[in-house]
Amino acid sequence: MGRHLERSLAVLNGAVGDYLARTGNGLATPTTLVRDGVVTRRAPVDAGPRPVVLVHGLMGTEADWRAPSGADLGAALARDLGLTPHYVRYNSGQAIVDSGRQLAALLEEVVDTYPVAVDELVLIGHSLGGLVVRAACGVARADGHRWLGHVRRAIYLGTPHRGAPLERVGRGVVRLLGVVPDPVTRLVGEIAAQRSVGIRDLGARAHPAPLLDGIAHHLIAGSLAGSRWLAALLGDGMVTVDSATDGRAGDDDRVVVVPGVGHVGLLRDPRVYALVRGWCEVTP
Amino acid sequence: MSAARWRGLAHLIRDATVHGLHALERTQRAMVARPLAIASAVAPALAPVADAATRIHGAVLAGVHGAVRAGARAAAVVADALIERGEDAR
Repeated sequence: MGRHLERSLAVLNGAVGDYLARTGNGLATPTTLVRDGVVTRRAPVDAGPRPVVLVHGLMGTEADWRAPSGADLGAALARDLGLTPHYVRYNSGQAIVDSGRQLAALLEEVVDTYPVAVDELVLIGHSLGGLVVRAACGVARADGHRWLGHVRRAIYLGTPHRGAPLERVGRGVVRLLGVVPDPVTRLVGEIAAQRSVGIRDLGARAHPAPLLDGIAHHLIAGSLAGSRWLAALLGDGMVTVDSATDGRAGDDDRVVVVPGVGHVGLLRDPRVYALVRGWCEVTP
Repeated sequence: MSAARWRGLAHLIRDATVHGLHALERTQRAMVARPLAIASAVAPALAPVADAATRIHGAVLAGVHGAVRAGARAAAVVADALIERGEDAR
């Protein structure tokens, strides 16, 4: 029941989360860490010196990182490299800058109360979560947050750095529905226009926060199709390869396209884990 | 589920009902206005009848939708009170 409830609320937050937050509705999800199903703003007392922060995507929850088999990217990094996973839960329907601001504040609190000296803070974002990570880093730099000094690498899985074409198509459809001189069609357009700011932000071709210097940014894109042209068009089914690689595919060994894996599959694919693990093993 | 969430759910249902019905009312007015406007244009003698039909339809719509909206607001107030009572009882 609890898991299904949180999943339903995550979908609701993704769909109309900006409205929920704006009206102070109790269904709006605050930005917190979640450990074993319990909401918290602190690291565990037995946390190690290398925390890894995992940020889910649109309409997601911390459970997204767990495969049906029980495999979990954060837990695997803990097992293999001794990292301490911190799963973030947030309202994915609010503006990305707002999510970023809240994540930045949360991380400052976590680092301030961390039980041991932090050696390195690893950031991993999936889809929209990667954009939230970027926004949080931007806020942290502007506001002089301490936690940013511990970040040496950020890993983005299927993150639409150059926007999501699906949302841009959605915008066009809504605009079209609005000009059709038929009241029912306009009503459908009005309903579609109610989608959250978080979803609408995904249509932006450029992220307001740049990829910060001094941090190794690792970008992983999924590609469903085998052929190069089809792969460029479809990407991982939700995000194009060009957007997920920020247009740098093939230029940089920190930018990798994983063939035969979809948007959600990026969270659980063993090849993706091998890449993440490999990057986290070495000092950037 | 926490009281804050129950309260949020009640308010969400209220807001969705109120906003949804406003949009539906606009749509229904527009749907009826068009054929009546066409009828008036084709047969100007029908214009007074069409005008009266538009007014009556509008009044009925406003009454029905307004009543449902008021019901939704009242239901939310009742839900708030019940949730508060449940909190006090705990």
